[in-house]
Amino acid sequence: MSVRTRDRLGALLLLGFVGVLWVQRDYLTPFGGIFPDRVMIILAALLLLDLVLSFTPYASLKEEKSEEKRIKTYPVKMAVVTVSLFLWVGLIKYFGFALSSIVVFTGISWYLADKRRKIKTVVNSILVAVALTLLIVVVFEKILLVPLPKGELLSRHL
Amino acid sequence: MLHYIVEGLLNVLTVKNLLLVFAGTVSGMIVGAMPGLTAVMALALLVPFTYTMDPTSGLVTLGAVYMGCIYGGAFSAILINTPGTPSSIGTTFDGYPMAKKGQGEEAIITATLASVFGGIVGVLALIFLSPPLAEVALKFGPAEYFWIGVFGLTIVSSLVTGSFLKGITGAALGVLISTIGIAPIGGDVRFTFGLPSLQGGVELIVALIGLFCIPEVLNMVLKDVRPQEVVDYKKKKGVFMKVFKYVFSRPGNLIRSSIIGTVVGILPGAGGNIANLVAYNEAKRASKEPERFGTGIPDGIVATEAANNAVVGGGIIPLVTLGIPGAPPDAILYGVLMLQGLRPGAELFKERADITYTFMISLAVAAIVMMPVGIFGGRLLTRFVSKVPTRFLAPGIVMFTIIGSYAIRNNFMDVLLMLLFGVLGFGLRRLGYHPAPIVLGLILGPIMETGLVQAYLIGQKYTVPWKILFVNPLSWVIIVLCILSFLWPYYGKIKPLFQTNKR
Amino acid sequence: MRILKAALFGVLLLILITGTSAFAIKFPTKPVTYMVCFNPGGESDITARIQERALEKHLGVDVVITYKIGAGGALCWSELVRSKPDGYTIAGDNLPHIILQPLMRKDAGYQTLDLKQIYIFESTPNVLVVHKDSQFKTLDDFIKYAKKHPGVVTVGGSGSNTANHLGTVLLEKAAGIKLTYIPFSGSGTAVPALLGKHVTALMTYSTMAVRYRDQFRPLAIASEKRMEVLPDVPTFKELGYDIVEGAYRGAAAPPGTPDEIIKILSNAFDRVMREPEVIQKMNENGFKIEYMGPEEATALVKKKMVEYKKLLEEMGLLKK
Repeated sequence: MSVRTRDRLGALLLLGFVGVLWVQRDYLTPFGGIFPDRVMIILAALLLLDLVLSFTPYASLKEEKSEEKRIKTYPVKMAVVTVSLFLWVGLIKYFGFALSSIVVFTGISWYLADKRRKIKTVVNSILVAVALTLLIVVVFEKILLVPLPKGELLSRHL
Repeated sequence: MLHYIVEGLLNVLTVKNLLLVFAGTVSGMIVGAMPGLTAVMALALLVPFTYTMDPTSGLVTLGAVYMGCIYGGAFSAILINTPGTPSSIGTTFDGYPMAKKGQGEEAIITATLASVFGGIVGVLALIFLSPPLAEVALKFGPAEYFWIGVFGLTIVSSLVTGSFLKGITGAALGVLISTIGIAPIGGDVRFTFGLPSLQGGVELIVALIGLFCIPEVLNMVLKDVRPQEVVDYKKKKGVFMKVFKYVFSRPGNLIRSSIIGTVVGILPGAGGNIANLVAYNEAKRASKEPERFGTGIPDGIVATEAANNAVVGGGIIPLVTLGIPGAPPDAILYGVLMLQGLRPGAELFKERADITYTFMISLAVAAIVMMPVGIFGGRLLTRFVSKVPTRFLAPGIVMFTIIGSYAIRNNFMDVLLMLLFGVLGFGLRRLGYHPAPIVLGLILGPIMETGLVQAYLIGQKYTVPWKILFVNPLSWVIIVLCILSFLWPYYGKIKPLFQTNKR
Repeated sequence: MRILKAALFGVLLLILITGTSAFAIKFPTKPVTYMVCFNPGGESDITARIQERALEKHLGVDVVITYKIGAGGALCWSELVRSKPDGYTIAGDNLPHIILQPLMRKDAGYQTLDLKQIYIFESTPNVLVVHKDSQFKTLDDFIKYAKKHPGVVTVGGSGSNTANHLGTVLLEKAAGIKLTYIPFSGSGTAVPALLGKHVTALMTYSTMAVRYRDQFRPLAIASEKRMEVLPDVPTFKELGYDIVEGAYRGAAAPPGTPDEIIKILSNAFDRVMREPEVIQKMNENGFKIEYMGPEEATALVKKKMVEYKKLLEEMGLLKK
């Protein structure tokens, strides 16, 4: 992605966000809008400036030093992990912290392993997931009495 | 007063209290190092335990945990590029690059020394300068708070390398996000997308761990490069002395940052989250080689860590003198004081002087305890993080972000928001928006909005209400500071022009 | 015959045993979560902390205080109404907040009467205070000045649409004056504004008037009778203004919680509020202790709902 496309994409995306908030404006008192309205206008102006600049020679050319480009990347892996994270949070809503964490943690740590075929990998993924989750449940929920997210279907842990 | 101090020192140096300080500092450090678990949370959890203790022991324990917590945030900032508490946001700027270069241990020792120094400076101010400094806090009215917020935004330029426009845009975005939820004045429900659970707005911690932690985890997976491979841990000899000499051979930064921390701590509503960024900015500005900041130099860590631990003592100044908590965790201490029947004010320094001075001195002792614990613990932790493989470290970090974002107010929505912020943060970073200005905006937004609208209301007596923003001399002092701070980055560019002109 | 009698007796006994075990509720058997909806160090938190140990004693289980802060309490109460109605999750609740929010917001996430009242255990009447150095010595001075300078006198208080806010509006109406109300986030954050003289006065709670008695001068209190801890402070009523307003704090359970469980909880709170140590601490901190069981508390809520709705209509703040 070139710097110009990057700038344009970012500006348009954030302008969209400002727009989504702007249409929700519905203040009951004269005070609720004083600040956010001004902020939205300023932010929109800054974004427009960025957008306009991206068509001129003044585009923000100062790139962060990209030694990163030489490193091999794994976008598929990252996409899978991102989806798993949403799955994790989704599962928590229904099954609570402990069960969801064991399942997703096992999944991620198995998926990221080099030798997925090996029984050892599967076993240690499960063991680490179970041990860490149990440790956390005991320390937080039982000793410190910090509540962990509970599920709507499973309200008790384990 | 001197005999109170001596008496307090003797009280702290009993076996029981020393043990409490030690245990408190260590547990505080552990909590602080976990992303999402903050000092406020640790103190709130501890309050019930202090019921069974006498008032002195209770306060001593809480104070030690507070001190340890703020320091502990540096560990995760340095090792996994995630501030453990909002007080160490700035520590990531130079701490993580140092860790990447294989200097994780140096970075932690630097953070330790700076924290100890800052902590002690804050406590000294607390013991010797409380009454006059507390008066300063009262001079700040709504208009001044608004200008403080503006001043805070001017430091954006030193938080980011690259485009200033992107930095200030990110900050404005953060400010805008902070207005989601109930309006502080008027009580309007704003920008909730029709969801009642968004009424509470976006909690700073939720955005913070989302924006910092999740992109880091995703980066680990994306590039399969992370501290473990980069932080090639080797046992080095004489590291401590080397770092010690480096840090203390530049006392200016240490002292300046500690004073900034103390003063910011005194101001109600502003805590370590602002202090560490301001100190970083000032250190960079005063430095002869500002361009090296952000590439992994100890000076950046010295600034942020000295400042955030100085906030501890500073924040307690208005608490014990006026009953006004200077920083968020102080509100918990305040509750404890009230429960124990200890009324802030002159009474606390005379009739209850035994308790008060023991408490204040125990804070200094806690700061000193951090040194051995931090250096030993830091070494262990560096080694540990470098040994755990990515496939366990990545989901492990995520687990803590889930616990942390939920624990902040036991709201499931916050966990989801944290993740959304994380993924968006990752995307925005690719588009050139760094998370630090966004978080800065989130921190400053409520301060600015409350100040602005309150000032507007107070200004109703003038024909043009906004005039109120320019009435007090103190406002003008801050306005001038804003202008100077804003123009400073350009001074360096203009200076050579003048010089050529002279020739 | 004898066998028949024995059999009948046996059946009766069986019915009795199974019957009792089916109807008598064993509560509580595990820790009870007590949610605090406002910042640590505030009135709700301090009350809960004072009660904590006594409540554990009378319930016989651990009481876990958790904070669920945001949206002026609405976040906490909307969570409460979605919790399991088994009595193990309760929350502190405040009047007028629980009445005003559903009236003013499109969707506050809960309805006032969804909250099942357990007990109302304290109240904090509004107190009008000025700085010790202020030119106003009496309420009369204050009102006279405000009459001459409409809108110039600023009164700080704990947020928008709180008891402090309503109290200020009521004073404006009763005295025929125009004040400028400045909301702060919580009663505590308003204090520095008066100490630093950024506002003329504070409409605050009795707790703050007691806590800052050395720095503040209370002009009048909005209670029926004078408070013992503030014996020299006249009531608004004494001075000829019919204003009785303040915040009530109690505990509530999710809708559908069985009445037996509510009864067990309210009995526990009742005994807690009669403990000498609790009474002493509450008084020291400037709280007015209330003893309102579930019925009384619900009746108060219903009465206030009518009052506040009318007041909001007059202020033009009722949701569209």
